[in-house]
Amino acid sequence: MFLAMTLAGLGLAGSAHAQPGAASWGTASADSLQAMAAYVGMSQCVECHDTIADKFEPNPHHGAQVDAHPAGTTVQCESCHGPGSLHVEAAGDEKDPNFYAIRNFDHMKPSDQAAVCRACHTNGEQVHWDQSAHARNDVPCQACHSIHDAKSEGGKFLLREARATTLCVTCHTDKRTELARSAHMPLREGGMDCSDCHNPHGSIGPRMIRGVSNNDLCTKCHMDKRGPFLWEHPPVRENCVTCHRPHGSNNDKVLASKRPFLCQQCHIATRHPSTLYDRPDLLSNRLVNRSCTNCHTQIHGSNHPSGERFLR
Amino acid sequence: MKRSMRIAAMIAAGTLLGWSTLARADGYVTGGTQYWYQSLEEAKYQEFREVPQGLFIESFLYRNPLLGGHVRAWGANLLRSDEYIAGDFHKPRWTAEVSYRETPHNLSFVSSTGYAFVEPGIQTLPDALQSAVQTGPDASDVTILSDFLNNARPLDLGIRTDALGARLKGRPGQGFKFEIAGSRRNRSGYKAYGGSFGFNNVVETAEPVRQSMAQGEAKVTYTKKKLTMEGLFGLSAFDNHEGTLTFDNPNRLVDSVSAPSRGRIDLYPDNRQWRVGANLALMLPHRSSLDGAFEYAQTRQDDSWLPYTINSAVFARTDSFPLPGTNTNGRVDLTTINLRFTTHPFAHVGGTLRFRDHHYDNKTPVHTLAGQVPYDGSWAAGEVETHPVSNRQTVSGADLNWSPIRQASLYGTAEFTHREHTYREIGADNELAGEGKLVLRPKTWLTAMGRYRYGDRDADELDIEEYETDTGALEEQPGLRRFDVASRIQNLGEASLSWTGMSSLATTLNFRYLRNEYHETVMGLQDDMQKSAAVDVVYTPSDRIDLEGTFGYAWIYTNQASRTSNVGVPVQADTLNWRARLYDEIVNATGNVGFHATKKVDLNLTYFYERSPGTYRLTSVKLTPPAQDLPGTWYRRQGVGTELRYKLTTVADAALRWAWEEYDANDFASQDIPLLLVTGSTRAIFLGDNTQDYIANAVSLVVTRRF
Repeated sequence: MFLAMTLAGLGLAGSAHAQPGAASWGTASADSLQAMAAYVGMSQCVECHDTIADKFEPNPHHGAQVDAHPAGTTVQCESCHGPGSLHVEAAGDEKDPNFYAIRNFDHMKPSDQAAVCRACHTNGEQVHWDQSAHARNDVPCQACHSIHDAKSEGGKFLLREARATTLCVTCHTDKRTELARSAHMPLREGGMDCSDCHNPHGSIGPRMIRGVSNNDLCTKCHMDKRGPFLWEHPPVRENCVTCHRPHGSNNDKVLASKRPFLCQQCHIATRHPSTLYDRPDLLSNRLVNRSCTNCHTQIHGSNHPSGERFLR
Repeated sequence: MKRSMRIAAMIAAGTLLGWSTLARADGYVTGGTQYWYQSLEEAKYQEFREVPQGLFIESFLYRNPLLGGHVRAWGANLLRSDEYIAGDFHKPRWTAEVSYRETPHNLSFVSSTGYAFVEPGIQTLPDALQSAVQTGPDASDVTILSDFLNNARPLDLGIRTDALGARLKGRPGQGFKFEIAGSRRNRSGYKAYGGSFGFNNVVETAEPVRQSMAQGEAKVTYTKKKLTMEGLFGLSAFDNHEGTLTFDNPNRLVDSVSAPSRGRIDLYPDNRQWRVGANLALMLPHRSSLDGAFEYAQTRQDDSWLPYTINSAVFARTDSFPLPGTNTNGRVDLTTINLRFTTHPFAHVGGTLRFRDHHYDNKTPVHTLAGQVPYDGSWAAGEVETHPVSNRQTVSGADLNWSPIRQASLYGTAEFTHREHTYREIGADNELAGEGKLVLRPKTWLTAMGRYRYGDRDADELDIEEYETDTGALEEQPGLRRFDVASRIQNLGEASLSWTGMSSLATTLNFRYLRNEYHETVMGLQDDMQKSAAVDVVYTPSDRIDLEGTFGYAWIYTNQASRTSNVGVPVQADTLNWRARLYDEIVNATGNVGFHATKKVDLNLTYFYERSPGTYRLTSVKLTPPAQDLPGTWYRRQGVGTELRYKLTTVADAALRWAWEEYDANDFASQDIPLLLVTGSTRAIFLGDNTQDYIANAVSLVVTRRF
């Protein structure tokens, strides 16, 4: 059901409410009609849409004040749906072209949907929306948010689902598979969400992350790894995902490959880094348990004067 | 805050709020009782959660109009180690939020240690043990250590993170908005950690984790017509309350040169960061916009250095080689500039020009140390220089999208990336990438997408000096190219299909392919490949039945070349070459059946399956004996959940739940590892953090009461 709702939000699903003839949602005539409509106030809307109005009361939008908006400084139905005088005049008659002279988000282009929200949501989380991958790929706000029927915990962020992660993996199915791997961060247990690391509204970082770089993001929680250290491990300083797969891995510590092979992709040198640890060496302490980091424990960097090899 | 205080505060707050305006409040509480059983005490079952035994409160929501605004409080898993409580208060122009979350990370319930913790960071062994191993005949050492470890005490491994956050947002008017946020995150517990006294004497320690992280940020935004400006200032601090870990050497009671009685690890140093930033968004004619962002951050780290060693027999000698300072005097400047211009000059055409520059500028001074004391053993004289590595990435790109007809959209991207790295064997690299994407919507119920990206990264000449010692001797294979800076050809393809042709059926298919070829690499990672596919199906045959199913498969392959060289310098002989081809897969599937049996009865069944096998193919050219594959590994987890929900009244439901879960692992690296591992002359003491298979069952009865 959720998939179908999301597809509907993306404008991909079949239009169950499409009307025959000229009078229909999202047509040029409906748009031009609405341009002639006037604001009538929320009390008129409640006459028919009482169940929606009831749900709207605890909504953060309800009663919120904005600096300037044609519908007034207090957010109400017409702030988003546009002036409704003609729609009210139609009195529920779907054959009357005026019935469609109101914004119905299910039948608007994604960019037009976003424009309505962006009339107010221009700063903070949404300041980079126009440049985001979601905006460029025509993902409308309503694909993730449900203004009238939020299912998120406490109604927070008015999400269509209880958790942001559930929403994200609907489209990002490869990430859903990654999260199912044995080593993972606590996303599926509810300890964190995709939106803890990514800002779906856009950011100045790559892949819409909530940091200016991967490392900047990771060290917001793993601040112990931030350094700078006396002895640096260069790839650590450059990009955490050189060694770690943050969405999940079959390997301990969400490592990209099993140790010692991960380390041996960059360290061949002489003696033990170059040694082949195969079946006869199965009980080698360089192969089992923490492998290389059984000894090189300070692999993210060391501040110990004798820590050049990350042993202390 | 102590748990009892939290409970009291929560009850008091709830009672006061409830009594004050109960008539207008709404919300719900879900709670119940549960019994669960696990065949073996494997921590994976509760890795990031606490499965409650007995009474529990699952979730609650409380909403109430208050003082001209709205107050909300909600939470989950109350009074458990994975609890989450949040609340906010909305006024027409103000919002205040507060949240508290505990996240456990249980790592092992079956570990044990022979160390006594004098303090969390000082871990000792009995003098008698150290003395016996030091003075007794070598032949008896293993027996002495084995006997001692047979009486090792249990030690649960895991860390707990408590995060408290608060935020205040306001729109005072005149186009101004502000936001002030702060958080404090405490982390505590024990993690398995390495410790070593040399190649033949490895000790796994329990790292004491007592850390706190504080962050604060303030943002001010001004919007006027088509212009939005935002300024931000942030501070963050990391404090490690366990700065060192000192652990006894099981083989030695008295310090001597090359054989310390104890070792000392310098745990993560404290650090501080402040940042300032500015964002600018300007709406321009022709549906165009200009978006600019600048951020500067400075990180400092000046934790005091420890001496070269804790070994008193060596310390006297190192005293004549003073440290070059008292701390690292670490400083990093982080500068990011982001500029984007987006335009839609025509109804069906849009484009973006973008530029991004990110500079991690490590201004930590270079320190020259007179030598090192590896493993707290003996003084290895010889000047060594630190390398405060920096890096910089500049990305310039252009995106174009064109929708000639409603049923089709075309996207194109060209991107140039330049990177610089200091103290690396490759000083700089450039990547040129092109991307195309086609979205077809021939019908309202059918969407198809195809995307292809090609990237060619060209690395600068190898600086061979980075592979040499100070004396000019080669210490790394010259054919090695580290994959994060090596020349690379990248191919990425994606395809998807969405079909909603029937009102009762919706399905999507996704496929992804990624291949990296490090075409100039002789040694090291030569190529890797990832493939994944996923299918989602939703079927609603009637108003009473919902069926959902998902399937996902992913496959990762890496191919690396290496060369055994068991002498002091890298030997240049192909006969010593070996190769590792690693295959890493995951299959996961989920199914859900929702059955609305009657107006009062709902039945829900769920199933999940995850299996992630690993294959390790090792080959050699002429090694004797020839390379052998490592045993395959896998992690399998599957579970069934059922819920029978009965509507007691209009405001109350009761549900009976049963959940079954099976975990089956096979991994040579994390199973059957003894506390004392003896291989020839090498001894390693471990904590016994072994993965175990388990079956778990949980039965619960829950009631939801709405008000």
